[in-house]
Amino acid sequence: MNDDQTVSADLSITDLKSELESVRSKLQIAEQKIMQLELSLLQSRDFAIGAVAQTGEARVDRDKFKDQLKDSNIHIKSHLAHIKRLEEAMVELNRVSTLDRTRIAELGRRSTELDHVYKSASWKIGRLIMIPVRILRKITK
Amino acid sequence: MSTLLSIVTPVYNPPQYAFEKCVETVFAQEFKDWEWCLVDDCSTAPWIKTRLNELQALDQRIKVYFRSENGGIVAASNDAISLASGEFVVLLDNDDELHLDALKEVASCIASNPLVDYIYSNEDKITEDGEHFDEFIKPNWSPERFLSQNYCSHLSVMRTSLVNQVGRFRSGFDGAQDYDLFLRITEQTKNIVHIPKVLYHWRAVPGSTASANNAKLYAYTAAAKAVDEHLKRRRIAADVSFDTALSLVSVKRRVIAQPKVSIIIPTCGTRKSIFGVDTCLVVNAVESIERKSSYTNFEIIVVVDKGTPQQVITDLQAVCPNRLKIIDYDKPFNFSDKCNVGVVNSDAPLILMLNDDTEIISHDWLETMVGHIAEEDVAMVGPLLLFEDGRIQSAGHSNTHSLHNFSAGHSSNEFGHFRMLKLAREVSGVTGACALIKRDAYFEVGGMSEIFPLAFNDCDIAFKFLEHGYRIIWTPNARLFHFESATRPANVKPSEVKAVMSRWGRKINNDEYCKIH
Repeated sequence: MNDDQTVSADLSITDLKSELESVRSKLQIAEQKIMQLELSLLQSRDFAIGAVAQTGEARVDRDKFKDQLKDSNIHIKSHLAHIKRLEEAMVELNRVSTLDRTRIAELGRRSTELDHVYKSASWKIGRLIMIPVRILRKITK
Repeated sequence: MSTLLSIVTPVYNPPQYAFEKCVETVFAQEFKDWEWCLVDDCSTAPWIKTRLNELQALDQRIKVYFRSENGGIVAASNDAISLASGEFVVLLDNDDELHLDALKEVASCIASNPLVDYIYSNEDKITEDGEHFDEFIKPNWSPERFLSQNYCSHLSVMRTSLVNQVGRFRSGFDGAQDYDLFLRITEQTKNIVHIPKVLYHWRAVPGSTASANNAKLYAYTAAAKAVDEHLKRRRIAADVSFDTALSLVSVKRRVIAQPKVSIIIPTCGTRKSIFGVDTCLVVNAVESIERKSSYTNFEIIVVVDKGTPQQVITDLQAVCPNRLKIIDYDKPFNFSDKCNVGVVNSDAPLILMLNDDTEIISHDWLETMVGHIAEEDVAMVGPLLLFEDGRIQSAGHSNTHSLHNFSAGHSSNEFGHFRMLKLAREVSGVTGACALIKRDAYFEVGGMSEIFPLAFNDCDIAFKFLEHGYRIIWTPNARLFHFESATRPANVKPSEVKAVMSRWGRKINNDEYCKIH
């Protein structure tokens, strides 16, 4: 090794020191970046895993709602059948009540007629004529 | 197509009334495609031979074999298995009772899970007078709990081919021969199904294991031996013993290589009176870690909010001069994001999330939790957290009825349902106030979700781990104080409730591991 080389070696030590500082600084920045990336990685993975979990949960909910919907449909069908039966019963009742109303009107008409008969002079005369007969009947009883 | 179930019963001098009840419950089964393999182990009671011969003559589904010499329960049980021609063997003791639907439920379980190898059900005990008590509401398959307790026990139904493959019952494990067999079976299969119904009534007669836990001490020694051998086969280094006070097998894992743990503590430097002394919470927490932890390979990363007093930082540096990293956080409050920032600033394979309002109690808290997380499929481990007054703050999470800390407010001396507060077990989550997490698993599931800035972030990450097939372990052997809600308001934001329900609503009230409130 000659003097020139020593000088250049001294120079290169200074250079190396400065380069070392620069590399250290870059390393620190790189480490910070790595940490940031690691944090981002954690967040992304958590998001993905959370989304999968939520999907699983949604599937469970969907199945639960499907079952509920099925139950509700069965319930609705049975209600509709019940309503139909009630409607049929009502129609029958209406039919019967229409008949009844006709009968009631007929009975009313006949009752009025009967009233007229009871109030008529011929009915009253007839009753008077029949008095002795009624008395005799009571005596014989 | 129906599956033939072979009921396997070794017979040795049962009380006559109990045996007759046992017979009644077999004949009363609604499911009819069964055979009953009875092996008499040279009973001395004279009525037994006559009765067994009568039964054999009565029903061609009954197979009876009389051993020429007394060989003990293992030999008799193995002889009974030799008689079995069914696809599954059903274990039934000679003085116990089956629920009338037991075999029907088992057959239905097999029909819905054609690959199942091992089925177990809930059970209860029955007195001599026929009174039922002590119903055991069991978790779904919980291998960690199974190391401390043969909780599967009765009713157990196993695929016959697998029983033969593992070598049936082994001598040398008398009293815990079934536990030893179940351990070997569960090493071979993951197809294990729990039927959450009481299908077995265990007769509590004086001297039986059902009647008194200390009636058969030899069984405990055999249980510890079975677990010890099981762990050796799985190459898990652990010290195994039997805790007679708790009637549990005690498993203490040995942590050989100490992986580095990054303890991440988000804080804003809050102060609170603890044990009557005005205390800076984070300084107290860090000081207790430094002073009490016997585990040495850790760093502490404190994520501090903008505005945290400089004195707090100075005090932290004083109590932990060598392995403390302070990270400034200048965004609006978001606990999850603070945790994530702490994690990306760490490089350890294990992360420990710790609230600043905690204090270490047990010296071996870290190695206890590290021991559990060493298993490949374990992502998260939590300790027993106690309030300042010593009551339980959290013994893991429970989702039964609602998301909550299990046994919160109970005495730490309580054993819990079948000693579940005294053993390490699988849970559906642990509180984020102290949770050891594998770094890889943390990244795999996207860390703490920022949509939960205050509450439910720990429940959410736990659900994410479970969805990814990981196990979460809670252990009572690591203990910390948690001076809860001293550092943040306890109220929960409606948006967080909505968010947690939209992600995990189906899991609420459907806890696999904790089916009691």
